[in-house]
Amino acid sequence: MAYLVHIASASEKAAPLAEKCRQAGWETQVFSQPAELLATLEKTLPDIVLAEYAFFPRGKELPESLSKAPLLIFAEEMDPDTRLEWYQRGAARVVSGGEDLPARVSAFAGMVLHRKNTVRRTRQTSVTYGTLQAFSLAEVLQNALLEKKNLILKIRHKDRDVKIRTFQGHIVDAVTAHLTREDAVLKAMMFPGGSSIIRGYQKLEERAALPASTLAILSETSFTRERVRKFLEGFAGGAANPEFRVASPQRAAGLPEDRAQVLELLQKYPAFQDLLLHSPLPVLKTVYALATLATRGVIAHKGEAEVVETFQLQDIEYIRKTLLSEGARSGNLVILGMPESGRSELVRTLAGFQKGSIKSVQSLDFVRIPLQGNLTLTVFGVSTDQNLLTVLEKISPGMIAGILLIDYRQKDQYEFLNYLFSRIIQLYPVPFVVGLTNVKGDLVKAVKEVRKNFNLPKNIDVVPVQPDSFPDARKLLYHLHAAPAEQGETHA
Amino acid sequence: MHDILIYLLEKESENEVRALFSGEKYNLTIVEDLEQVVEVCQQELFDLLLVWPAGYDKTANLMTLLEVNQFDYIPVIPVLKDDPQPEAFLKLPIVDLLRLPLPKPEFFAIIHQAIKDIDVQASMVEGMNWQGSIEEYSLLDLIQMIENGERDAELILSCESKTGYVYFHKGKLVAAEFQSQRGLEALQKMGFWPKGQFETRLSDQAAVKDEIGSSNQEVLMALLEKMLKLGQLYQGLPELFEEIMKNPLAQPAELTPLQDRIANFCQTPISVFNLLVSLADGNEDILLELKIMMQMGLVGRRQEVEALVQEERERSGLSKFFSSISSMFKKKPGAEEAPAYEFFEDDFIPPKVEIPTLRLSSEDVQKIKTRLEAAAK
Repeated sequence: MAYLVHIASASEKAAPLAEKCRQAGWETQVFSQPAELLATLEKTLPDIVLAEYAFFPRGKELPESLSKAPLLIFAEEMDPDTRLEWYQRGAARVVSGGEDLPARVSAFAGMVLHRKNTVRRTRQTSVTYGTLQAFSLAEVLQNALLEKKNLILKIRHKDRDVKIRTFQGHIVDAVTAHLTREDAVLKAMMFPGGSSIIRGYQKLEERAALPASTLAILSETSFTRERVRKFLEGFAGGAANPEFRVASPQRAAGLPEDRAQVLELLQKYPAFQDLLLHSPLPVLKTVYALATLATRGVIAHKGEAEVVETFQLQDIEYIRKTLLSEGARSGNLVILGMPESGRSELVRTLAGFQKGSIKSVQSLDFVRIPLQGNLTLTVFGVSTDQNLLTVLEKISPGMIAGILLIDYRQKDQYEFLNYLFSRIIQLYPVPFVVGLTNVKGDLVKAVKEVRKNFNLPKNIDVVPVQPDSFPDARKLLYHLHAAPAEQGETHA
Repeated sequence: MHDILIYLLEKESENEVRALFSGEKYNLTIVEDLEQVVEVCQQELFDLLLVWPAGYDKTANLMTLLEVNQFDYIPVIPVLKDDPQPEAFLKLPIVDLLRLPLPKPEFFAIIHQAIKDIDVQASMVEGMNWQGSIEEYSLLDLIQMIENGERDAELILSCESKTGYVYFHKGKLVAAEFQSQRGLEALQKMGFWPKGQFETRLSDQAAVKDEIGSSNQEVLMALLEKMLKLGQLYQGLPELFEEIMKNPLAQPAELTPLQDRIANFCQTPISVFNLLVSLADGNEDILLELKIMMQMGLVGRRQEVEALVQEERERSGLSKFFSSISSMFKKKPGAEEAPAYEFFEDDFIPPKVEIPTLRLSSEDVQKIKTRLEAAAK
């Protein structure tokens, strides 16, 4: 084939190399100056550029026009590091040393031309390929199922590949980086773009590595898509590819491994689609991890307004006026709750956002939060175990308010907590509020149910709360009413 | 993640190969003989084949085998170890040549580049195209897939230098063209193609007038029905891509107009496929008439017709030979008939020969004397 070859060399090697190329039936043009070559490249695109190593300045970016044609670099001598550097700079082949350099260079140029033209064209006519925008993976799989096809599908989006095999139309195997089987298929199904290359194969029988049927995977895809949609709708107003940011690194302390992994990845790939693509976790696990991180306030979406992370002036004024006695500069806020009620988490939420350092002693956590104007709020988290009353007695001087956290799921604890709380509000006449945690579903119904089971005074509010949410923690404070009600005045 | 096939020619090198590739993002398949190469190539989609360590003859055999089995889309790189004549490999259609020892990063840089250069996905323009083999996606498949997505598309089908076009608007078939035919007729001409290439270009087809009229399901049913009928009619006929030709030895008979057209196309060898796509008549009619013509011996498989002609030629050549020889012995008009020879079994009489006595003139005698005297001196 009459290829057009540009030879870039200012040395005596150009002539014999050009001769070798002509012997191969190629048309050649020799350039002794980079500017001359680059000017020609702007007008004519050769099939290959054969450039002597010294022709381009070392360490500099290669001109853009040079990237359009394959580049072969040659030199009499070149160390391995330099050769590797040229590959990294985009050379298709580096040829150095050996006898009869012009012959070797033209031989390797022939190989590069052969693969880029002949082999590539043969490959194009031997496989089916196209973009997922033209036909999605789901469509290809449905067709394979309908026509009982044996196919090898290689799906690619950006730098991620997924390989899927179907036998008699059924998916029998799938693999991608970190994931296999259904998880790998679901990952590919969620690719927002990309391309596929498909080839049929012959085999009498195939062992299925996937326990799930293709139809099951297709319906799981719909389920996954719906979950993703809901997450995006709730989290980013339905944007298809929102960007995330880390809102509170402090709140990331003690995260389980999978969430920590997602958080780390998020800092590298802030866009949702990129994060999903590069996550080593299955799609839904990644989305659930993101949802948890978002709920805890660890991450936020970039378009979202900044979360209030510190007590505002109005909050401080409220604490000073409503909870502290006149002239007092500090006070103790006591958070009571059984294990699993979210007590420690609520302390962490208040401390984390206020940059306070938490100290823990047995069943007691405490943190001192400096507020504006020399005010200090000390938050105690006390477990409602047998030592509660003793501990409370010790910290009661300076106690300005109390929060009781009730785990809505633990209904067997209601009776004990009701008794205990009745004693406490008798002993300590300060504002109290009940925070109801782990409520899923109907919040109003949950509040009514707790009120029914607890002998609570009218002015002690029951508020559903997520202990890892600062807005919720802040909201609780506003439900602390100054005058405790007389015992016996209860809600129905 | 790329699939690499290693054709291992030296069992001892297996550990070296596995160690080199461990931790790299490649799926390795290692085979040790040519039969296995064909088998695994039928079952996988390889991105690269390395011959390790390469010997010229075995690499050359491998390349031939790949070409014969249509696996020449797999790029081959021989990996040499102390080969005294690496230049011999340059005659082969290889995509690179590696000589060990080689630094590991450079080794992977070279094979990565080779894979990248043949990668059809690497340079694919994001957008609306899909193309491939009709063996994997027939016209029926493609109609349904385009319909499912309610797409606007132009579908180009090609086989054996014939090209046809099908147009879709919002997933519905609106037009089709194949040579001089249009609409359903054109679709029927293309629906049975067992091989070839297709290309879908998703582009706005709102301006294309609906020439089909029927719904896609109706068209699909019609195509399917035709294909089943063709399958039945096809029994006993040559393979679709087998060549047929007119039998020049057949007695001329009165032909129907379609038979006449078939006979005209079959003057020179033509595949059944090409006959079907070249004639504007319906495929069923063509196959029916072809069947009749084959039964009458007017048309036959190329090989068979050529064998008959050759036989006839030989037969006629031999008879000419015999007739030419016999003509030599034919009595010429007016000449006396005489036997070529006579044979006498008994009473053999030897022939009598009379030789006249030699007589020299005095002049001749004098000449001889003079020569003899001169020679004696």
